[in-house]
Amino acid sequence: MKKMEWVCIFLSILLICGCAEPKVLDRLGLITTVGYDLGKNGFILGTLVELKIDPNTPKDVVIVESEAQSVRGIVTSANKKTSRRLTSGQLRVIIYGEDMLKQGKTKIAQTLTSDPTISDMTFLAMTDGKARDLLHLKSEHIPDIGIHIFRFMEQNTKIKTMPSSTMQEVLHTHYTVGKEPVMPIINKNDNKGIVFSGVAIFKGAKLVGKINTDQSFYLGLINDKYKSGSKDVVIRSDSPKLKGGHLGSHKTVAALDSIQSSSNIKLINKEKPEFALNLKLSARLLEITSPIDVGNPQNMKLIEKEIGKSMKKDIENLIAYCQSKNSDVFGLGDTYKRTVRHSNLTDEKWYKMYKDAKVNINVDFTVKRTGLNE
Amino acid sequence: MFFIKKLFSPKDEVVTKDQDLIPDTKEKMSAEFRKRLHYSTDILENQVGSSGITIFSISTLIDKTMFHQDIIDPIKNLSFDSIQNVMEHLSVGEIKQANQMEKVIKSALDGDVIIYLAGETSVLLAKIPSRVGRSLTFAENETHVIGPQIAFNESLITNIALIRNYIKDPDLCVEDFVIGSRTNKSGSILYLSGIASEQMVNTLRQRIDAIKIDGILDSSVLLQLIEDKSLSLFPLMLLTERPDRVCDLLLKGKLAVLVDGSSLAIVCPHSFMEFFQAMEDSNVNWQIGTFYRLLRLIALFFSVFLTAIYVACLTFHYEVIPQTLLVTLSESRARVPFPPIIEALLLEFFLELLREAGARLPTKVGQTMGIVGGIVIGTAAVDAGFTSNILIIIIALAALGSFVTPSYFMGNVIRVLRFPLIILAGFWGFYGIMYGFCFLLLHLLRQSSLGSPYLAPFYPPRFADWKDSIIRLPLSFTYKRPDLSRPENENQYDPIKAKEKN
Amino acid sequence: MKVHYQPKPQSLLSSFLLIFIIQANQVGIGIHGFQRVIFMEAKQDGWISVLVAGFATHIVVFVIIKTLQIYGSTDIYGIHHEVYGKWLGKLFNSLYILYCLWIFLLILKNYIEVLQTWVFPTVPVWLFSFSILLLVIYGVTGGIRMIVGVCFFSIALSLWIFVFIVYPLRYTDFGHLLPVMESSLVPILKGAYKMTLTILGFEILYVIYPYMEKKEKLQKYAHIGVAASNFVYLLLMLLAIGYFSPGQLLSTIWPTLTLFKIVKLPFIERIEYFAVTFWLLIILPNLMLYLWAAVRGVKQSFGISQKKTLWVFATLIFVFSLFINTRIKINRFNDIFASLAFYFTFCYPLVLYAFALLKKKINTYKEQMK
Repeated sequence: MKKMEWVCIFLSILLICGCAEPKVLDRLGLITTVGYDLGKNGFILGTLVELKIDPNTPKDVVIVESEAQSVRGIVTSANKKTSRRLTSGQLRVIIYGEDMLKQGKTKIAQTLTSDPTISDMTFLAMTDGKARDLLHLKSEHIPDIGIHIFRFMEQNTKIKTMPSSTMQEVLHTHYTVGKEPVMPIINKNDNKGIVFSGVAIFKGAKLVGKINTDQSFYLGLINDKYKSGSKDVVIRSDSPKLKGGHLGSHKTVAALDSIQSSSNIKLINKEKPEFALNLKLSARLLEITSPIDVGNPQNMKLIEKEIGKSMKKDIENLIAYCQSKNSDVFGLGDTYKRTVRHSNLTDEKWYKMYKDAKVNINVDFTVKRTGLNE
Repeated sequence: MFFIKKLFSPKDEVVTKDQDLIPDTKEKMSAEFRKRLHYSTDILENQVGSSGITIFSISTLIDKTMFHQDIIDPIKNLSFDSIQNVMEHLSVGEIKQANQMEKVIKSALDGDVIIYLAGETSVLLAKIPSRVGRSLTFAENETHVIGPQIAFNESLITNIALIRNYIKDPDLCVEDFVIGSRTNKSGSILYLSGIASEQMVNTLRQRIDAIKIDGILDSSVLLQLIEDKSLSLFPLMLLTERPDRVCDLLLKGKLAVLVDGSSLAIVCPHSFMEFFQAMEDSNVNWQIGTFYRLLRLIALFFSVFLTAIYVACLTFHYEVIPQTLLVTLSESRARVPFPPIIEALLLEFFLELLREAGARLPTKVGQTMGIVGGIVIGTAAVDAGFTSNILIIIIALAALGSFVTPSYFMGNVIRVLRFPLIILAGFWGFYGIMYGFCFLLLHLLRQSSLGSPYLAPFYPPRFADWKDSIIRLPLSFTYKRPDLSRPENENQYDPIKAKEKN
Repeated sequence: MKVHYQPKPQSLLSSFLLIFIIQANQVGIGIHGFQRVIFMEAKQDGWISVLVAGFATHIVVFVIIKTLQIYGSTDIYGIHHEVYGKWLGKLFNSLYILYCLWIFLLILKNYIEVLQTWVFPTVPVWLFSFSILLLVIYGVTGGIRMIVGVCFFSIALSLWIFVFIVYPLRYTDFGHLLPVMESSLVPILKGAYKMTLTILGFEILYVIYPYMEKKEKLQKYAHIGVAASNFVYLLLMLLAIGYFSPGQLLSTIWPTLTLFKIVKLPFIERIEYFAVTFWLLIILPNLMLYLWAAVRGVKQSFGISQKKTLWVFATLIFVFSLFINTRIKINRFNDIFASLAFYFTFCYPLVLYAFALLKKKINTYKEQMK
């Protein structure tokens, strides 16, 4: 028995002779951000942002560009241009140029998931114009554009000003029948910084429309739950009480914060798809631009009602826009599929119905408190 | 095993009975005595006055004052016809009679004086050993803040006295044995009869009897000979210098072995988990005790695996490094010329050198050693781009982790374990670490301490004993003796009464 | 050869350890990817398939223990010998030994495949299979008590995995389960059939039985063990259906591991790298139990020393593991085995029970005649 132990130990040591291929951290070029654009002749133009590691070189991030016919080929051909081996294990953000998405090449994301080194928590985003231009942004406040974009997206998705678009979530909706993915649009802000300027709406893998950040709030309201959002709501009301103030007589703005919301979509008619969308919101009213006495319960009722009305209007617009673009980002089809037995719903079937689907919106808004003042 | 066999020198041929008799004349006796001790110069031969008595002894082993006061003085003016009469006049406590030369020589080596009267077939052996040794001191290797501070010293009698002082119980059994064909060390097995398992006492007795070795100088050597498997890296029995710890374990039904000339007691059976328990855990209240134990367990984990994880992450799994750490880590690594495995091994090697130097050097130099080493390695190595400063932190944490282990022997094992794990991590990444971990788990599962499972109470699961393992519950819960020592009497105290008081 | 086999009292195991043995032997490499296979058949009602398969397992386990109880302290090798006679018994014993080795090879290969795909694409197969085999041999030579010890620790030390279920749970939409019972009975049963590869492992009862103390309690503990693994399967199935959208699940080979991809801790970004290597501890008891069962079988039916057969089997497995080297070959290997294993683990126990009962009736009848 003792001999056995020695044999085992000895053989284990022998085994060590066969060693795995090392990937030593400081010999690698870690790609933090990738931008994909449409190149010439069907090539894909990749812009890779490498993590800035060496403290001795004052130069900022290394950006490598390369063209290839496949997504994986970009890294391979970019390798010819760098001193460190490029690896995508620390990839945080993928940015698509608009023309790329218009072609319908979200397939790229699928290709990437089969690579185990790429995290499912990688953020996907779109930019108007070229991703290359966004990544080449130089500003003294942004030492590393890759990490900057990642932190920017992380921060904004956490507080839900931006729809969360990690690879897992985008692919999840992409593969769901009757629901389409969305991606935030990130743009350059006058060459100084970056800005979240809207949300891209897809049908399948193809970009079909964009909505602004204002509407993106309502999209979040329907698809997600808010726990502490904030929003300025424009109240368009005929009530004389809600007029005046510095914005003049045509509109009033209410600043809401600590928004808590929940939404519920139900199918009420199978034959001619009709849905009931119930939204429940509560928030803190911090500011209202018209000189109304918020201490008065009746006034409060009015404000609540009017805000609800305005929201309803905005949501109706949003849904109408998406229906016109033939993109079901709310997952109405998914709801339909869940409710109707043996529907065997496919995207084709659904989009025949989607255009004429009716959504009855019901917004139930309550003001919880009004801050320190009444 | 052949080299161990060599160690067991064949025992000297037993001298036949006729040759072994006490010679009848003084001259013959003197010649025989000197011959058997190879004419050593410290043989003392005293002709006592006119009594016709001759006293033989080894002068370096006996107490001179006692020799004169208690042996020579009472008999120098008397004359005797039989050896029995002599006995009545001596004021020495321990006197024996012997009629064989073999025994005579052995007791002379034990510090006896041989009182010889010509013509008699037997001699008197009076024990007056000189006290060579030191007084009792503080425990230095296993220091505790709270609890008794005394440690064993090298005298077997004193050590047993210490234990007897803690446990004043007639059931405390002391069994003597002699070990080593040349050193003839005396030692004792201690246990509480009626509590300790009879079967285990037998096993231990057999193991000690089976040892054929020429000399044992310390109980740590004896430990290696009576362990269940001598090839394991792990200590399978406890060595401690604290009498209070020994007594605590005796009360739990374990056995202790003391060897003369050794200041360490062997306690067995001892499980892996118990090496991470200190007496102090039971001296403070149970919440704090539990905290200490958890702390040590986390330290154990860090100490063994942290450096290996660093090496694995940097060599193979750069993906797992969190984004916040990435920049700092790669910046500090950027200037290091070696691959992580060499970097880690180098630094570990430095640390081991420092520790060993601190242990070997005289105390005063040792302290400066620590400071110098700290500065040299801490700052200069990083400045020179020799290592990354994150690794310094990790290595320091790992080193600290190994030092909080209450048992010095286990601490050594932990430090040694790091090296193969670092190598495995450097070659196979996480798979290597996991492989090492599985091997360790299998290895520990195979071990036993005096026949008891080494990983008790976790496996075989004895859920009742978990109350005093990585956590410590109040005394009112831990009234049962651990199943590890298979006690004859399970309850340490009455659970109901203990609960009433608390 | 004697039917009764009475191990030495010191190698007997407490009966509650059977929970750990069964659970550890059932949960292994299969749970990496069973969700996809079942989803292919039963769609979102896959969890019902898991329940059906679990229920079937309970029945089979009940029958297995009933069979063993007829003879008191014995294992399947003894029963074969008793029921089929000397030569036919040996043939059946050889088949069972072959089955154990086959499943050993299957587990080993599938794990190596996962390791190569996820973490070390360049490390050769022989290195993994050689190193794992060494570990297994070291374990098996330690005896059954030690192997069961590994079962115990493998479960106790992998409980932390459940904590990380919280992460995918945040992205889980259990609405995917709706509408319930969309699939008809046939796909659900087909899905349950596909569970075979994942759920097997309980048949180790046949070999471990004589080593357990207090045999009358085993029925209870065996069912607790099976229920525990069923719970794990059900949980993972529900989680996978909720977390992935249908198309995603169909294209993910190892959904359980992909679930880990979302876990992100402050000190470790990608837990799946650790999880994949940690699985070594989870498959170790499986490998050890099956190799031990095979080696014991040879000892029982042919009387060849355990050590010799151990090395021979290890070498055989090592050689075979080199030949199955691509994904397609592994898949084919899995499929062939799955169809055979279904008959072996789910149907055969019932047949054996019937035979054993019949044999016993005949024997008592014969005695009465005397």
